[in-house]
Amino acid sequence: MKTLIEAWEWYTAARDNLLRMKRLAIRHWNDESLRDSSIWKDERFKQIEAGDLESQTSRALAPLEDLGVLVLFSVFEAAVRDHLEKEIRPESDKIVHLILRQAADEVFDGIRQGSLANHVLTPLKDQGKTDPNLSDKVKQVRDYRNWVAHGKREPRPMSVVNLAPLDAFDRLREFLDVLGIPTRPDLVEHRPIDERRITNELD
Amino acid sequence: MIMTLNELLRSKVRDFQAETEKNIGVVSEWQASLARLFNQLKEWLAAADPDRILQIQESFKEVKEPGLGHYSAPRMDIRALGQWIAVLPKARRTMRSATPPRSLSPENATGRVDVTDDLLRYILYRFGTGESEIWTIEGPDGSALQELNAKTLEAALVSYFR
Repeated sequence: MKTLIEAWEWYTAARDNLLRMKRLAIRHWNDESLRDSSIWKDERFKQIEAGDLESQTSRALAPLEDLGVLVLFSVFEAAVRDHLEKEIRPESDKIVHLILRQAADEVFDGIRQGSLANHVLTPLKDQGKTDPNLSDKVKQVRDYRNWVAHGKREPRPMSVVNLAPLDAFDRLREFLDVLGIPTRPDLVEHRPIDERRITNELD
Repeated sequence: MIMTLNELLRSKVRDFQAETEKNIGVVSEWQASLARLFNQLKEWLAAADPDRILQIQESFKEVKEPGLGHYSAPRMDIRALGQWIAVLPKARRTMRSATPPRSLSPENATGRVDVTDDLLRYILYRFGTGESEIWTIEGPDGSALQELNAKTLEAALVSYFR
């Protein structure tokens, strides 16, 4: 996954198909009209009971919201770092003075590996390239991602706001739009925005 | 109109209770059948293991079965020589159809219990109910169903300890 849209599509595909499996288990698996179905001859399904299907699907669904935020933010972070590096590279290539070159290398290190908040979000906000409110919203996504990545230790710190993947997606996409980073516009243009919400009604 | 959380929960509770009550007869019959099966298994195990090497622990598990709701069912854990085997009720409602021993035509199974150590799985299918019920055993290779009796149970257990 290289783009935010691809990450979002992965998340919705995984969630929607798991919800479909859960619904299949609860509502249709033991439907008498399916007794002669070829599905019961399929090695993958013939020994699966509705209860197993439902419980396994529920287990798979349980961490998916958090994984969604985690993956979305990872892709976002890589996209922002790549974009800034490409943007700055032509400027730094012109630098001749050794001290300035060393300073430029340190900037690149910060962009590539440093704290996203300190080396990317804050400078962009301070330079007026991003709205402080939006920057804070992205930091909230990062904080939530960090909390999840470090094991969701309870109690959740007051500073960590609970976020769903859709919240994260909207905030991160807005931030990428501001920076002019493409999120696979070919797909976005052809996708009605409400389609993302319709899939929530599957359960 | 958007439901409040309280309305939604009340509605779900009503649906859940209605489903559970509707199936109470089916569940009771299934629980009685499981009790008979587990007593029979214990008898066969006692006869097959006169030295009492097998440690048998009985308990109850909560089964959540779509269409039947929640119910309690017995389970058995058999331990010996560092091995563990569980006898677990899986479902009263199953789509398994087969021709059980002593029958001429395929029938729909009326219950399923698994014997497993998480690697090897034998499946006990029930056909019929009450007086006419018969338990069968299907091996991990999916071979033809055999009637469950002391001999076929022992053969299955041998494969775990071999």
